[in-house]
Amino acid sequence: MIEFHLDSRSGVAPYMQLIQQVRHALRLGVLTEGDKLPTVKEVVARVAINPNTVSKAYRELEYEGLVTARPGLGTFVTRTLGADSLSRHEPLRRDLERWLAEAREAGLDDESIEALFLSAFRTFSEARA
Amino acid sequence: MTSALTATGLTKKYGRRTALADCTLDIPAGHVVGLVGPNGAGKSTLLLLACGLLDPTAGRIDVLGERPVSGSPRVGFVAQDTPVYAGLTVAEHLRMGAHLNPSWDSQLAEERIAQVGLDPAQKAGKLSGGQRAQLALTVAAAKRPELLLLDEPVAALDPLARRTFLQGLMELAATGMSIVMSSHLVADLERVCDHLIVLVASKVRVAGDVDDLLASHHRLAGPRRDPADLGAGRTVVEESHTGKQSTLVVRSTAPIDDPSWQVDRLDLEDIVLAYMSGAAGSGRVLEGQR
Amino acid sequence: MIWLTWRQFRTPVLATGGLLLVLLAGMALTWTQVTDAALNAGFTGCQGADACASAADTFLSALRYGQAKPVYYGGLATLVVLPAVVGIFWGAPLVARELETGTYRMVFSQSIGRGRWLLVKLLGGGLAAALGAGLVSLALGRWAHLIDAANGERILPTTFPARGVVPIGYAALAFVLGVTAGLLLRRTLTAMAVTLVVITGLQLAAPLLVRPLLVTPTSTLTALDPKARMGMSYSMETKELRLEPMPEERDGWLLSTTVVTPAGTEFVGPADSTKCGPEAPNERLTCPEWLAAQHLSTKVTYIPDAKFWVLQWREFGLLVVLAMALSIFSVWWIRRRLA
Repeated sequence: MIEFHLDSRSGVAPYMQLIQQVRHALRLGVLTEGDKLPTVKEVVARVAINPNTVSKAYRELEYEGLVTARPGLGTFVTRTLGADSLSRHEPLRRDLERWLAEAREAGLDDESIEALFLSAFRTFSEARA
Repeated sequence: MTSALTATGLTKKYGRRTALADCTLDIPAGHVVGLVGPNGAGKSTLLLLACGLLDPTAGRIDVLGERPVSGSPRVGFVAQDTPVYAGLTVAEHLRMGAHLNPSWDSQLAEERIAQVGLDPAQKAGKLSGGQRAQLALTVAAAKRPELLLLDEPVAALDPLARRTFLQGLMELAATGMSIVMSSHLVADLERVCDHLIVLVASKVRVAGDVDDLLASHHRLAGPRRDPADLGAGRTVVEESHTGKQSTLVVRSTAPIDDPSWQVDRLDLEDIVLAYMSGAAGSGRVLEGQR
Repeated sequence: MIWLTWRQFRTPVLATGGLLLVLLAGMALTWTQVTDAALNAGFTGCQGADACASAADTFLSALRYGQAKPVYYGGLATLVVLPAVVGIFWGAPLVARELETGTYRMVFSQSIGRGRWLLVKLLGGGLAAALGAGLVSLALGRWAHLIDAANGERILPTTFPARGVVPIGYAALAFVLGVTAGLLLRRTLTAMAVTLVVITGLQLAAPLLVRPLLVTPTSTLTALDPKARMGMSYSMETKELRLEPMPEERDGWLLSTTVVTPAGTEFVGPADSTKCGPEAPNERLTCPEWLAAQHLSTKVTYIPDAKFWVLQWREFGLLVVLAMALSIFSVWWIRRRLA
């Protein structure tokens, strides 16, 4: 079972934060197939969040095929994420570290590196979308 | 979408002072709706009109499809500053509720009192602000209304009491009760409200689902330019300019792809504040959208 | 609603009830004192007007030094003050406190109409006030009936509002008055002050203005004895002469004693200045003669003791009608105009 938390200053919609937290847990293997997600009531009681928001997040996750709702029983994880890609994490991380070292050598400070990465990432995502 | 509350040209005057002028809005049912706006925007007046404690001077208001009358079993109300009878104990408040409401759910009432840790024998006058708010919420909720109206319920509470109160409120929302709460504090609304209405000077500045509002508002920063050039489907909510730079808060359904803008997300508080100050500053009036 | 009414009312009701109980206890303790004194004085079962009058005097003077006297005046004071107490402490805070503390917003969002809420409270409080006043008045009337018979004062303005059914009317009206004041003024203290002023005004206006209109006063005419002691005022310019005879004893409430001419109008002169007034050389002799020649009469207007109950019921009726009208008004107001 996972516990949700909300960051109200992030500008990310609360339902999206819940989805991201489930995805994250799936990616890291915290949640695996067959695990039960907390019920809407449990989430509401724990994080003081609008129940409609929780339902919306669960619906979205169901639509993505990550979970399935069994009436009367609860919502269950149907598949894990990135089990296959998990092995690819290490080489990618090494590439990134190399790139970071280059950036530092080029005289960029932390903030500039972050800004550069984010702007490149955003342009890339928008181009893909 | 059915409506919990609709108002058309709703006006309330106290003598020569106008508390609400020509207000037109539509609040959907089945949601937790946040009614935000600066002090004096007419939020309290609107809620008092909605529960029949005030009568409109002009215009029309319908609550759950009916003209509001005080004493309706369908509408619950937690008034500002959560008034309770100082001389009555917590248990006596529940007894009062049971006597005055045919639909009283004493199990819900007692469970809630136990859950929030109130001593039934305690005099309500000795309760802290947070406890008093919980008592008022319990009395309003245990009559099992279809619609629960709350007027600034957490304004006077410390952060912990506020969180506990909202948690209880959300548990009630999970039972299917429609909730409309006014607030001039936005910080907590993001998590508890799924629909938001910004009311400034009796006018709806913006209304919509919280997720949509978050997804469609952006802060743009870039070289100075005329905001009119932004293109179709984009509305400037707030703008500020220096000699070289323009900063805009924009509502846009399409993504902003102009690379000369730095685009940032906004949290709900930023959006609400943009609408409030935008209303005061630029005079640009946006119609409420749903 | 009845439970809530009782719960919110019980403190002032019990406090008032306690005070009334003290008075009732005082009456119970002195009951035999009064009856014994009447018996010893021979007032109980006396025969003949003169014998009864002297027995009454003996009886009343015997009571002068016992504990019965403070109870008598205590009872009188209680029933005179009770309306103000009920109006100020029961009535005025009833709605005003709800408006002041904001609790009206809580109670009016329960499943009960505002009109019904007020009606139940008005009925509860009004009946309690009426019951308390009625009980004390009944007990006091029984306790003091010998004294009342002996001094014949029950129709006088000082005693009248503390006897019979009128106290019930005053208490009920005062309560409704307090409620209405609180409803209109929305401030407890202001409502209390206004209630006090209005009730006191009402208690003063009743004997001065209203009571003589409720029953037709009885008038008697007797020939004026010019030699009797009387007050005279004479105006040099207009030659107006006014006579003020000594008031005569009557079995009732004396309203006025005037001197009238044979035509029935009040005698105001003009006087013959050679016979009456400072210019007359031998006024002591000539003036009574001149007055005798005018055939004047003394007209005494009074409300006889026999009309006590007629007056009681009429005043009671008037008070009840007023209380009901105010109740209807305040229920209308809270439903339509409170906003």
